[in-house]
Amino acid sequence: MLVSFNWLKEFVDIDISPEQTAELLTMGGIEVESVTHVGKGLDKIFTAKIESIEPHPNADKLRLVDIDLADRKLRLVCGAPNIGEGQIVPYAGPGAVLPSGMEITERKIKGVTSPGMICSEKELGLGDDASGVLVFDPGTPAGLPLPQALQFLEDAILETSVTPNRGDCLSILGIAREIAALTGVPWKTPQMELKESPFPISEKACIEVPDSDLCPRYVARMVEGVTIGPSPLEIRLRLARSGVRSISNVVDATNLLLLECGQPLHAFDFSLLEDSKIVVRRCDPGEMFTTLDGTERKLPENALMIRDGKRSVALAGIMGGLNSEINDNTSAVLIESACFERFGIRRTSKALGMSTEASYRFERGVDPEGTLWAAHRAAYLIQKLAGGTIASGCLDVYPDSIVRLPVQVRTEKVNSLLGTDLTGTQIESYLKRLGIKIQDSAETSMTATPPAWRWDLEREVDMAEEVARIYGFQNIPLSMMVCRSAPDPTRENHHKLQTVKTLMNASGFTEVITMSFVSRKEASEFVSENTGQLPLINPLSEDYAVMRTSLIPGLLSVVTRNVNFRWDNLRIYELGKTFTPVRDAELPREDVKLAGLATGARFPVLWNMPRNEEIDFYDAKGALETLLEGLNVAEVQFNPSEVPFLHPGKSADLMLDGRNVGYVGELSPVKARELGFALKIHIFEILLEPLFVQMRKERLFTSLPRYPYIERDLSFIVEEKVSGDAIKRLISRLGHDMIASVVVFDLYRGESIPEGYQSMAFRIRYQSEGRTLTDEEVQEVHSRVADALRNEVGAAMRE
Amino acid sequence: MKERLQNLLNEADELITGACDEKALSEARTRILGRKGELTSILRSLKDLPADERSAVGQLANRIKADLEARFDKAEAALNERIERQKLASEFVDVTLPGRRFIPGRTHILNRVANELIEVFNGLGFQLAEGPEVELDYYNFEALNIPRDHPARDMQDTFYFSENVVLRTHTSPVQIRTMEKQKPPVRVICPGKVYRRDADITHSPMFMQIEGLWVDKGVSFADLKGVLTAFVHVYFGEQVGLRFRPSFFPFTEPSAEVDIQCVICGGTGCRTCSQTGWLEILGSGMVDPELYSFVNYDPEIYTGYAFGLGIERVAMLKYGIPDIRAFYENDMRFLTQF
Repeated sequence: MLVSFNWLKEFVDIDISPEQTAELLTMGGIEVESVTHVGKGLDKIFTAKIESIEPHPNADKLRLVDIDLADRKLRLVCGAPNIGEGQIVPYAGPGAVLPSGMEITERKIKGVTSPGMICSEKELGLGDDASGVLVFDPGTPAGLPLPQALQFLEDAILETSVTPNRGDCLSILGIAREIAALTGVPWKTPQMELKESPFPISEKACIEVPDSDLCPRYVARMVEGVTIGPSPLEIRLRLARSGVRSISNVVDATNLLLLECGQPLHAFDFSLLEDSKIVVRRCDPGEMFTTLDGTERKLPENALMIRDGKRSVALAGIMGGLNSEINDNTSAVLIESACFERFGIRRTSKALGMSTEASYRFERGVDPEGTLWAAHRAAYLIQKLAGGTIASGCLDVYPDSIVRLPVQVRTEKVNSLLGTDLTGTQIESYLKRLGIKIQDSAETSMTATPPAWRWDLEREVDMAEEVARIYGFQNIPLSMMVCRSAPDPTRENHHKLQTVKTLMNASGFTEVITMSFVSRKEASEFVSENTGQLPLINPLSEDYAVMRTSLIPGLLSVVTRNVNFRWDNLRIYELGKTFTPVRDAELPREDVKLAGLATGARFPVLWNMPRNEEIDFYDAKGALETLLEGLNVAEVQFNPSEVPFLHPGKSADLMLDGRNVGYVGELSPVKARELGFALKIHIFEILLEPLFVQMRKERLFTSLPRYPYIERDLSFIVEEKVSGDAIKRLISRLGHDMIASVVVFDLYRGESIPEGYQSMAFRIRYQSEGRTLTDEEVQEVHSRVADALRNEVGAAMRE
Repeated sequence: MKERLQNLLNEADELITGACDEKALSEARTRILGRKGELTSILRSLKDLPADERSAVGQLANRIKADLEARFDKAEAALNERIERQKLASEFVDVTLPGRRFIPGRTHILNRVANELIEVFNGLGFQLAEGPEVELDYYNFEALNIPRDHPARDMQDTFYFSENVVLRTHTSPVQIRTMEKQKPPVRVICPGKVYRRDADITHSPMFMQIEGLWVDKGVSFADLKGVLTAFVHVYFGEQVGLRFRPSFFPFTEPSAEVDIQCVICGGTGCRTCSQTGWLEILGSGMVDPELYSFVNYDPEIYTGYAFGLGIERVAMLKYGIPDIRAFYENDMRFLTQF
């Protein structure tokens, strides 16, 4: 809310600067986001009277204006459409500087010299209206510098941000009360004297509130014989500075009061109310209603309506109706000052998707006692601005008073909650400054009753917060609670995840974090089987429509982004959750997964690194092997995979205890092309939880070998379809306890090897736990191994 | 004879000094000590000496022989050392060229910051707790004292799956889940992803928070001030001031917003802090007793505090990052800066 400092001073006596006030409020809980000084530096702008207007000889849209500045007369060129003879307007002559920084000089405009200009509201920094020049109230003398012509020209605007619990601070009065409480000075309301006619309102109109559950109080007053017209400049300026557009004197009066005391008001053209009555009740089922913004709306169930004898005339607490709004011919005005039920207003406003200054305040709670004062003040202001006579008395339907319940406040409780050492007397004085009534006062406890405007003080702890605010948060001491230290088992999982990241980093993979939501297409593309999707009701866009089922779409989007910037050698990973709906459960299953992606060159281009090597399947698999070794999980097998979006010949499923826990492989070239990638992309995605479970197994010590080993190589040509793993298993089986290790050290396919065949070389390390092996016994086993390879897999030995 | 031996020493010294390479030195050694050399001929002629002189001269001759050999050995060693030094000096690499290495990857800056925060609060006695990201309305709102029609719901724009299921808008539901599971004392931090329907330079629809909760007998607002002051001093530096401002959160009472002195300008006012000298960094407060009714804690016995901070906010301040979206664009040029 925009708070005028001048206006504020009408409600509380303060002698501190706007900046100090802002600091005071911010530290008291009403955050002031900015302080803007307005209306400064306008002392070289003068009021001028337009004497006559003539057409410009060379331009249709420009006119020549003769102005009178009391001590001299000038002829200016002006393009504003709203000028008229006799108007008092602001004149800026050569040398004057406008708030925008523009310095006025004598200029020739289409052949006519103009010694200065007539300014608009916006050019003077007084408001947003730039549609025409600013026009002063009739009777304003010409030749006055602006600060003399306009009271309160200079002002400071405090932009406050009020938390939802403090509806009472959404007004000048509310902020004034807050300042009063924080500084200890009293707040005040302006004096007004109502001049009522002898005719009571009760003889002219009546109010019925059948649905008083949604409208605890309804007050009406009436002003007759008003003249609708523009508001004086001072009022328009005040509204503009509060961010409200001036409409007409009567409507401005209600808006002014909304800003001033936080009570939303509505003014009806009384002549348009059928049967001269107001009925406050829920809408009819399926009812349609046109609000004064001209929109026809379908009313939600239970929307509270203000009706006359026949039809709805306003959407209670939110917006008036088109059928009863104040218009140029309005003569009698019925002023509504009501207290609507907070949650009812909120439900309707939410359902209609419309939030107005009025609904915003009703939702947060208006002062049920203030409605009456606001009605009186509205009548007073309307009469002041638009004339007419005020019907005597008011209609006030308030069947069940809203009472604030007393709260017991214990000194000891307040102190133990805050960590302070306040006395009962201190607590009492702080609470009293907030308008809270204290009874049964004693050092150890008291009974506190909040004022009607406070909806948020229902419990002892609420009172404690008020005490803390007034005492000052900065005055509460610092303390460090002693805690007994205990072993922390909760970090185990966190540490495992950190280990995963460290291992991935070690393999050259950089961590990314992508959005948890993806498009429907992406969510269906990277799952092996359709396990269902979790769509958002209100996604930000179709790209973020459902929760991700795989981390791969996110990683691919990272490729797209980086390739755009020609960073195309990528090793990236993400560790995050995927979401799977669970039948008959409200919440989905959240699985922590690790996904990686590698594409581009294996090594950076560097003088001492291999050149022209591309990342392949084994780089991706290698990273997973590093991970598994680092996590101490030995039992994972890599089996050829049938995952549909992977290359059928270059992909593997990861099997752990017979369970498929993930995959690794080249993104199928078909898929890659479909997604617009010209790159070979290798990806993997695994579930982490099953690995973590295996990880718990401890590894026991094995004694170091005491006898030397002998190494023998075997190289042979074998069909491509015979897997390295199968050969390794075959060798290990035959050599049983004499073989310590088997590694593939060469693999070749291509020239000089028949199609469909490959040349492989294995190095076998023979070693015994019990003795030194002799060449002869090693040779014997080695030959047996070679024979078996020949016989069982058709290997042709190379000598 | 003695004189000849003495001369031999001098002659050897001259030759050694004169020898500039291995060959010259080896020739000199042969000339003095070789079979046809001077010393051999002297030793051979010993037998011609009278018996009484023979023993003394013989001893002298042998001593000189040993001396000569030592001198040649030493000279040879020195020469070899010189040669090797010359050889090594000619072999060199350009030490300014980059080494051969495997380039490790990096952990995302946000997770690094999250880990740093976890470490700090672990050190202050907080354990870790977790909760689901897709959350029941009950945990995300109801049990946190944010009823359905309350304007406080406007503070957070929520993603919905159904009337009862939302993407959590804060890590605060973990407070309720943790208190449901255990009796006081509870002291946990809950880091994690949260979601709000908002996207601009300072808002990402997905972001990360870390939540702290401490409930026990006698926990006060002064303790909250103490722990957060300790945190700010550890993490941002001893010199960084902080202030507690009254605010409102439905699940704390009293509630406080915590500002730290601007880490960019040191509090004198700059663009980052909108000239105020202060940066809003976290929200906190005393756990609202209303929450205890949902988890069956007795508010007459237990009090507690809670706080929550945005990890992006902390990272942006610490590293001077102007746009929150940078964290989720995953531009390698950004990620590899940290």
